[in-house]
Amino acid sequence: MRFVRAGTLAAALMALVLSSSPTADTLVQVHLQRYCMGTMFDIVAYHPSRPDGQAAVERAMLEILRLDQVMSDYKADSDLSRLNREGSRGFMSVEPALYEVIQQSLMVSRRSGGVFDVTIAPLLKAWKRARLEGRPASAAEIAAAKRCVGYEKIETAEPDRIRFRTECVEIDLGGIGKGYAVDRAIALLKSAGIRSAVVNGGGSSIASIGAPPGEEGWPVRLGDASSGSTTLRLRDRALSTSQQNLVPFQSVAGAFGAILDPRSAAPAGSRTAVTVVTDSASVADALSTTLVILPFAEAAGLLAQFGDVSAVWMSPTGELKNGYRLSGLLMSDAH
Amino acid sequence: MRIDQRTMSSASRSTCVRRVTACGVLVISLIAATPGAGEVLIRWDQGDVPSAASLGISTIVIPAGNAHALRRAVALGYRVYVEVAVRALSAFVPPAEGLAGVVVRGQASPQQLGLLRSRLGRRARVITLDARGKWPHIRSNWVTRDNEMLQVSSRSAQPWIENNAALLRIIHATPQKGAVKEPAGEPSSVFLTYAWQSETQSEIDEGPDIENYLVAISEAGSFGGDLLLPLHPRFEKDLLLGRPQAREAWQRILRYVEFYSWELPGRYTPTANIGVTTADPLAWFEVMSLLARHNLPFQLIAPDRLSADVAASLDVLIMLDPPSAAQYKILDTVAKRGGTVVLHAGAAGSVRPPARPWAALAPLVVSDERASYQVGEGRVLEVRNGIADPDKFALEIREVLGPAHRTIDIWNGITVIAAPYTDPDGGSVLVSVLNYAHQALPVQMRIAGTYSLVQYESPEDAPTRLPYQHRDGFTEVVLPALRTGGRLFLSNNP
Repeated sequence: MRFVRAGTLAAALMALVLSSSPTADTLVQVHLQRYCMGTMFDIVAYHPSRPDGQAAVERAMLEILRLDQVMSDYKADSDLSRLNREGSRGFMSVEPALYEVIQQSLMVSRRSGGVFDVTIAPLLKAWKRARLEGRPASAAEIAAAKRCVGYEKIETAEPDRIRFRTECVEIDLGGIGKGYAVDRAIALLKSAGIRSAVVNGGGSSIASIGAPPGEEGWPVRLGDASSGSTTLRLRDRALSTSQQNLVPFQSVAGAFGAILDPRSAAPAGSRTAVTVVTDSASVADALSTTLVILPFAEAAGLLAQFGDVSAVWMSPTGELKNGYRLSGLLMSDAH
Repeated sequence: MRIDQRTMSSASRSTCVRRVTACGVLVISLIAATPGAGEVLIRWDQGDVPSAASLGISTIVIPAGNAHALRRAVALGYRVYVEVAVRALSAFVPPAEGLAGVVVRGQASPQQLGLLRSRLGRRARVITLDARGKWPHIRSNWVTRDNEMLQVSSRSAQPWIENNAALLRIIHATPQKGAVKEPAGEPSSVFLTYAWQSETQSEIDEGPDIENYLVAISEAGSFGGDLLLPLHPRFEKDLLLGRPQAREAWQRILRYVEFYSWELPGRYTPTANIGVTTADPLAWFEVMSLLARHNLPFQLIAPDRLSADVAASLDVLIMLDPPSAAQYKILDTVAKRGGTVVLHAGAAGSVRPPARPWAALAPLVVSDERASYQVGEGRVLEVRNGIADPDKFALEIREVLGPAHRTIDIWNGITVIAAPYTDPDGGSVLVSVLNYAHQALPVQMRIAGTYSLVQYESPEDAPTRLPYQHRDGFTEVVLPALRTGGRLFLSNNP
């Protein structure tokens, strides 16, 4: 009897969900695509009014473009570049979004024991310089860079102040910034009354509001467009996928990948693709990067600290290797 | 693209060549073009046709099945190209007047084209279409199936640019099967074409952005392709109704057509320090497409043309087919002279080890995927297990070249593809740049060679001199805001 009641309740809830989903004949689809943060951002939204929908989508995209100007470590005039130049001189007020994303970074750094670390930039630069010469970074280069690495070298003070405890600290938000931008875009779309939208940051960071008209969620296939076979539905959730491309050194054995393990100060050797699904795209972004480094056996301990989180490990060729709390997440292989 | 002056008075001709759009009639294309001249023809599908004066063009392509539009276009004074499907060629009756040429859609046999040529006589041109092109755009991170949009999540990667740079290079390097001679003796033209493939309901409703058309025109102009440009039905209807937004968009299209009407890719020589040898370029299309996409200019060398002398100007020679014994000797010579030879495993592995002149040498690096040998002053890199990932392979070729041998390096412009050319005297360089991202980007470029004069122009920007820096034998410049297409002229002229 309990099962019947539970089933009835579930059916009623599903009916409620579907009845509250927008319908295709009353809504128009608006799509906007822009290049930003080294990749393409797409926003798709459904709205009864095309002009209003377009205005909401454009505002959300402008926020993504603005955040690029805040968080870019490439642009010399960005807020982050200024912090990297002047942060060791003492506490300085930073742009609120920059403060918030760095706080989120530090939270993941603490929980991961430093496996996720936004101060990895000096080490990454040492490896990239060596790579240009077709070799790994030397022990001396690594030692020099490691002096500047460590999330505990960042000190924050509410509401918006940050300082570096060591002169050579540099923050690189490559492991979280895109997810943060996706979160901000979603927040703006919600505030504009959008009830059905997806924000896709280069395929690696995706978040959704509601579902497409008549659907239960936004279908997302994990892995390459041609080879991926694992599909899930995203509804009011966010996901991020991380993986690295290993490029062989030209003059010696070994390969370079862009995800460094702060513990070994060397590129992680894994080519596994890891997808994390949770409420926040920025947390998903940071966690998926971290899980490329962590062995699967150590992942559960980290993920348990984040509550409602799921994760999927895929081989480079698209086969499902491992999963964490996948129940109800994956769709049948309809595509 | 060429300016057809036949519809203009001689008095106005010179003015119109300089300020074409102001003259009211800009003729997109015409006159017999050499293959790859950068011509653009506009295809019109609606039953009604705007006047030539309102569109500002005098030539148009109309499908043969659209009889009303054909009559209307001829009555309005257009020079009309009739597009005919191969299967309808035998029954096709050319219009008695106003015919500029016939555009053949589909794979026609030499006999069919020859027959058409003889029926048309000297009064009209024959064009064939190569429909292998893709509409140039940056692919979204989703696929559409059965009206459902499927997001695709994978690692953060560079934007995937669907482009025709490699295809155009292959078309230029490959003799066209069944080409017939035009009355003036030159082969009939092959035009690239493609369909707009909407990815979202929004695009189905609204059609391509104006930027899509501008990228298409810029791509043909940058890489020396001839293009039959289809317009979206919605855009055509808006033009017929004279809607301001459509008219404004059309004016921008005309501006781009004018900018690329100088056929510069045809007047300069493409610069490439990478050679690719294969007898079947289309079998390796993705490899070449990714080389082009990563700004690694290459030249296609037919196997029977390969020699150590031909390869002497190259920094890297990629051998995609299994080499013959004679070709192995050539590859060995190329490496000994300081070049880098790259063979994929299928090529290297298909020949017994004794045939490889460097087989006795100790490899520099060996892994499951690669074996590298120092051969004389150069190197041989054997790619084992085939080229499974053309993108990764192209990035590896960038590494193999190293910064010192890259003809072009681009920063903050991963949506940009550049095509370098050298003038016939070898003294100056033209770099055609194309941004597929539909938004202005400040693009930092490094071009091989030191030049004292750097000029930049685009359809949106008047010619201007750019500041530059010389570093390590390269000239570094920043394009302040590359929106779609543009050109850099680098020289040492005062």
